[in-house]
Amino acid sequence: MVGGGPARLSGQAMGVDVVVDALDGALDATRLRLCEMGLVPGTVVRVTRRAPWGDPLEIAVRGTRLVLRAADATVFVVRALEPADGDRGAGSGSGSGAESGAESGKVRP
Amino acid sequence: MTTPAVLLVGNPNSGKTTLFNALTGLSARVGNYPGITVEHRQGRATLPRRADDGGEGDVVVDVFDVPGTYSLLPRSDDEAVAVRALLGDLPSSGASSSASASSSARRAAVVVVVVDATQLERNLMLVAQLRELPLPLLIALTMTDTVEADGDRIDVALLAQRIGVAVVAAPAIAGGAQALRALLGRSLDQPAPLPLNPPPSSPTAAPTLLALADDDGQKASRALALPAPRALGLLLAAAVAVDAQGRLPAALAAIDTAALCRQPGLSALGQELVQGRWQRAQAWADGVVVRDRGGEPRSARLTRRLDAVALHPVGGVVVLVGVFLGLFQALFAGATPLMDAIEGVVNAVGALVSAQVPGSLPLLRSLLADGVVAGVGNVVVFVPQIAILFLFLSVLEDSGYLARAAFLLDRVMKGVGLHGRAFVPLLSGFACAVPAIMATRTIESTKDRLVTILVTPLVSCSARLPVYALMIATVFSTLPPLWGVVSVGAVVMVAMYALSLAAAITTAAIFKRTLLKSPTPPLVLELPPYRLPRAGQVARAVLGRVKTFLVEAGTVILALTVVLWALLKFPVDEQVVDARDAAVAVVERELPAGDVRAARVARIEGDAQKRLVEHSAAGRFGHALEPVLRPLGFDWKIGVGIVASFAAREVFVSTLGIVYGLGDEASEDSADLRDSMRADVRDDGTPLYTPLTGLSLLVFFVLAMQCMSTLAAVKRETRSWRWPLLQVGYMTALAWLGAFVVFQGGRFLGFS
Repeated sequence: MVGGGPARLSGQAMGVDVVVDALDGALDATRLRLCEMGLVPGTVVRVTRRAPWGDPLEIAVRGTRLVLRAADATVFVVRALEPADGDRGAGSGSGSGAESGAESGKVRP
Repeated sequence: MTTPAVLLVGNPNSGKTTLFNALTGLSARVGNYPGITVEHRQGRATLPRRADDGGEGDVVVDVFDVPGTYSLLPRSDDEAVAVRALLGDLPSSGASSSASASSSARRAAVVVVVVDATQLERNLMLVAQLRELPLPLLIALTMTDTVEADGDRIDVALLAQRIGVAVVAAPAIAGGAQALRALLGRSLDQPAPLPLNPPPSSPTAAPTLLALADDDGQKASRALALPAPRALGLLLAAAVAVDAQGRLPAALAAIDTAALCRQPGLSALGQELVQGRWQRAQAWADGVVVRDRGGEPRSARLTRRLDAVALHPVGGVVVLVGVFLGLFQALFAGATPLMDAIEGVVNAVGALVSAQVPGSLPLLRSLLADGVVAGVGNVVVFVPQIAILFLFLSVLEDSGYLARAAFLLDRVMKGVGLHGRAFVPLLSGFACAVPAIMATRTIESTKDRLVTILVTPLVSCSARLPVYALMIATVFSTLPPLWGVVSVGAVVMVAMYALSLAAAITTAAIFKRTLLKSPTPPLVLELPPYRLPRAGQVARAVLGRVKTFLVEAGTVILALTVVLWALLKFPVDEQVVDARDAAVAVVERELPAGDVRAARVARIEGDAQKRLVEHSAAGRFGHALEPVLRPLGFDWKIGVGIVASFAAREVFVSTLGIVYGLGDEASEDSADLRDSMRADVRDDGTPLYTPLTGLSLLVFFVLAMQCMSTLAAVKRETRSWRWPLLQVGYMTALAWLGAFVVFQGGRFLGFS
């Protein structure tokens, strides 16, 4: 990634699968809700659309399409999807060959 | 024995309400917890039951449908209601809207978690949270028909085995509700499954857990009779609401998630718990939907293709404008014939009633015709607009488009500082504030909802048009056009609409920063798959709204109509009545029946009516107001018009007709009324209706809350008199100030 600092969900190109690495910053009610909607470390996520004025974003995560503002997406640090992530999915602990990909493995572009 | 309660919970858009409707049929009704405006639905269902002793028979249960939620940590009033119901605070039956409920908390005998099979993992996240609580759970899988239509299979038994609770496929098509009924009947007396421990906490979380165990954790533990670690898991789900007495449900509606997140230690722990629950949900869902074919499911493909247009940067905006233009057109044009028809019927009924009451009882006749019948008319006349607006809203909501509209509009509405969902009420406000205020119900945050309710009546509604038309015709139509082409009236009209919008936005910003201070509403929104709205469900939603309005707001409107009637009627000046009767008798004796006589009688009666109104309480009030109104350029006649037009703004026109002695049939098109107004002069002989007075009056009507029906609707929606009275107060002050600035400023600048 160009520019200093880790890659953020808000800065991702459309249609590219990435993996959530961490939540950088204090938890607040909105961010906790985003975690509860699936944005936890290890989850594959993809920016799928931006609203007419660039904000908010639409993302695909765990088989759901979610809308959030760029300001909220900025706190989620992401990394590129590696082949190993296909097995990790979001469930690093389950070890059960969990489904992967932003669409829960249903769609792989 | 009390009736057992069955509670339906689930994610938004999980098909919960469809299932509820199928279970309860026509017995469903809407209720509120005392003191809050969030609605829940309640109905009765009959379940087949096989008792253990071999006896058979049906059992009747109360079914509750609460707002959908993603989490047990509520982020809005809606979600708090769901959590409150889950933890044993169901409204007691039969007291849905009275304040007597909640004396004894009622627990659900069965909690049905409604799970959308097409979004299995996401929906199971809520199940993962619920499984940590000692609740008698049962899972109803909806949309299984969609899964099958996509050519996939779903392993219900595997899911039940993994989660440890009974699971039933309950698609909306025939048989789904039946299957759920049967399972419910068998489950009523079953003990709750043993709750799962919260996800294994990592070593970093353990010290935090221990530290907390001394405090809230133990309280929660005692209250729920749970081992401390489990109670701690709950702490992050719901038990933060344990009150001083250690009772769990009492303060649940007040859970402050934002404050919770700021607690040191809880932030990291919270994230770990959420992550652990996701792992659980993922493990449960894994492989349950068996995909026989590759590629994209048909249902997902349809949604993707529709969104390629509906969310396109250009196309999406075009669609959005089209959809709301359609809504607007339907509200404005579609409702008009129906409203005219209602007015026609009301007038006919009024005439009929008048004819039935003997002429020796003029007051009773007037009370029935002008008070009661007109009051009922004032209520019913809103029904077409309410029905049309909620027809549109239900279809947009159920189809999934409303979420797309919020996505497209977020940037604009965020700039205004209002909730994205305030768009529909504000737009509908151009037609009528009454349905618009009822539509604020979709705004989750109470404060944002109140702000929207408070400013919506500033949006220039269609009832102001007759006043605009009359003033423009009277004082502006005679002015030469600007630059030879643009009529002054058109400019004034546009300016009034711009003023109303600017006033609404500015006032909203002020309320947002002062009385109802709250941050810009967050946006975390799911875009559900498109679905075809069900006619039955839409009809139910529309009828429910209309019924609520008629019963709750309607009674207030009816009462206010009668009060206003009395104010305009009493006290009666008997001398005027006698003089009128004598004069009419003379005319009728001396002139032959015909147009000339009718005109003379009409003039006598118009003149008497004018003097009677002047003599009435409202007339005297108008007179008394004159010192306050003079700085705005208004005289007492306008004062009487303002008092009377609290019934509805357009009444201003007919009231002016009365005070100019033209009878009560004058309309904004009436040349007689215009001529009388133009001829009217002030004490110093200068004309009363100058362009400046006209402008001042228009500004007053843009800003003033001259509508008791809106007042009744706000009272109904906020469940208190506090907000409607505040609204009347601030809008009247704003209107006076606005008109004062226009009139005095204009005079200062040399206009007359």
